[in-house]
Amino acid sequence: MAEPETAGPVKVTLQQLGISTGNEHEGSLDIDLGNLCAFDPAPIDTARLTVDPDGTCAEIARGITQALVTKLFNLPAEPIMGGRLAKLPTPVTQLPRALPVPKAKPLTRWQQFAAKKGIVKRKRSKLLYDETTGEWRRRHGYKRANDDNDIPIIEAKATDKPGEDPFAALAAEKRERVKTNRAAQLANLKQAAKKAGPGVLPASLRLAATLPGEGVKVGKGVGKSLRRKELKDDIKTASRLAGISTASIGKFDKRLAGEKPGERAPLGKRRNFMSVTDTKAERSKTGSIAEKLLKERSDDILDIRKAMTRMESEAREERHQAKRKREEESDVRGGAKKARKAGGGGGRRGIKGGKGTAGKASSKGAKGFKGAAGKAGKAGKGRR
Amino acid sequence: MQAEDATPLVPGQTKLVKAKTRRGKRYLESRAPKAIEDAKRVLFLYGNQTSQVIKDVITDLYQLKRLEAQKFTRKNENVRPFEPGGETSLEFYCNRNNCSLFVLGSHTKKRPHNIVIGRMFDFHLYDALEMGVEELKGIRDFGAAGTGAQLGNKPCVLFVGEKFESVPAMALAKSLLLDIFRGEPVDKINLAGIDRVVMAVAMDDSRLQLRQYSVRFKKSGTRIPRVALTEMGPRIVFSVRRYRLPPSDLQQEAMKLPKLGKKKEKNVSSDSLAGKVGRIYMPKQSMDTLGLSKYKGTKRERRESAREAAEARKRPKAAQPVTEGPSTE
Repeated sequence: MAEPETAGPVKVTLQQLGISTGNEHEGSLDIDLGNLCAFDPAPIDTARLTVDPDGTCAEIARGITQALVTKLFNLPAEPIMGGRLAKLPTPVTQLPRALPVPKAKPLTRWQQFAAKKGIVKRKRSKLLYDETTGEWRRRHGYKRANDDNDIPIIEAKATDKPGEDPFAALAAEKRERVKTNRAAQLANLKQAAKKAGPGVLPASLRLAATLPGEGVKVGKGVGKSLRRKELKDDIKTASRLAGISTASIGKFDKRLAGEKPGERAPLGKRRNFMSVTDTKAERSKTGSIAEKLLKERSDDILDIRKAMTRMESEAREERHQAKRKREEESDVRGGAKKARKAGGGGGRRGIKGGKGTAGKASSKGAKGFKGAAGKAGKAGKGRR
Repeated sequence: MQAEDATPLVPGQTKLVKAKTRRGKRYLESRAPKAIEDAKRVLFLYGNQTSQVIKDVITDLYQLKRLEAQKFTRKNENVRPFEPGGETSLEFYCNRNNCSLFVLGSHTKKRPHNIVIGRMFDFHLYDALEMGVEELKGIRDFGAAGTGAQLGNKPCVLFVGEKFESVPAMALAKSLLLDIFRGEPVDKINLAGIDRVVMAVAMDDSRLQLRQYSVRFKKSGTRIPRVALTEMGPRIVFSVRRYRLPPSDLQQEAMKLPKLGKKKEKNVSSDSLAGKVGRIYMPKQSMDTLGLSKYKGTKRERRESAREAAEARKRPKAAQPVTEGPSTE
């Protein structure tokens, strides 16, 4: 036999060693790399699952994960410390959002104007040349160029009045500008909220209603006196409540100097109870209640007193007429004076009588006879 | 500050309420709606009665979502997502804790070991799925394997079974589980950080199994590593009970896609003279340790001076009492 040749280095493939990526999952997978999600839509083998759940699940998981990892490692990546950073695509599965999509803010008044006119925002330089110091300074911020607060001298103009302070005037102008700017900002926000709803405002801002007592500055004028009155009333109420919060409702407490008699008395009427032993008062009270009830429930709407007075006055008149007639007849041969007197009286009587009857008729209306009967009856009762 | 509040307030009109502190302002802005949203936070809470099984399930799931979750410890009896008025408390809690997902565990005779997983849209109840826990093996029961994965890493989520498409309850379960487990939406991921896999298997029309594996990458001879899985984490078998689908108007609102503006490329500008110009920011270099270029001509000199420097360093160590260093010639 020939000698075996001296063997050189043996080449072993990785496959022979058993190093490979392993079996990937067969079958199609719905892979969503953006979410690192994979879905296997194939029907599962329930028999295998019941027999060996752990092993089957592990196998399936390994297969699918291998497929997913293969795809991930094939993505474009850049090396970083501690691994490789792969760039993921956008997720495919659409899941519901947690919050609504942020709304686009409507344009402010200036922005609308600028859009209409075609005004473009230009970028301003960060540094600005300051003439007073002769150097380049920043445009905004600490030690800025052309700072309004740092003007050392303002030259007087011919139009200036003697008592005016130009620095104060400048400061007042600035305050005015700031005020109008704030008002304009608020107006823009309110307009935006009106147009597109409150979701359009920046997250740290909110529009709220001002309360009735709010914002009224303590100073000269109505505001101060209103507040003072409110405070004074509050103090008075508090003092009264404190005063009557004793066991005897403040009755035996010493009145302080300067305090008026009713200031610390409890408000409201005290209840008065009738005496139990006084029967006369009780009887009169119940009697009056009964009378009131009867009066209310009775049908006639006459005032009994008036009716009685009228009846009696009628009766009086009749008696008077009768008397006059008798006197006339007896004194017919007598003087004209007496006749005139009788006529005047008679005339008057006539009118009176007429009025009386008319009044009687109108006051009664339909219930005339009934009322009269009732009246007569009642009058009779009263007399009795 | 006084100049800012210069506008006088008129009662009966509107005023502007701003955040009082910068921290408050930042907090409100973090809670405002965004085009691309952050990870959804989960609220874990208990119903009127609980069982040990339910407590274990809730604690395990909470451990998986630690940083993006809030757990309530007390029992809440008026949290009933499937009853008409029962979701107001839940909506309030979710609003206060800025959570858009909730997991409610309870145990009654009628519904033993009950779990309700639900979502909120704009902090109003969107949809919910009720499941019963049939089997549970907690993270603790897996021993050391339970510590395999790192908290905060984005897991791979797998769904196995055609029931996830065909049965509506299962489709809802798929959507909810993906929402809970997917974590923060990112556009770049460190491939070394893929260490967890969550698998959901739809066993039949009403049963669902949840398993978790930790991933180890092994050599495979190619650029793509071989995946080796070890089971860690809870293994739960659920049986699907009731579910509640979203009302159609809320669904329309919630599924709207935001208009994403083009991302502005930073440090790139174009010049009329030079064309496209980029800016690079260099880190500060320390002049002491700069590697200067060497020339071949000075090679011998460099070698000798290096040797002498090494000997000079050795000799003071050997002859310590002598203060004077040896003189080199």
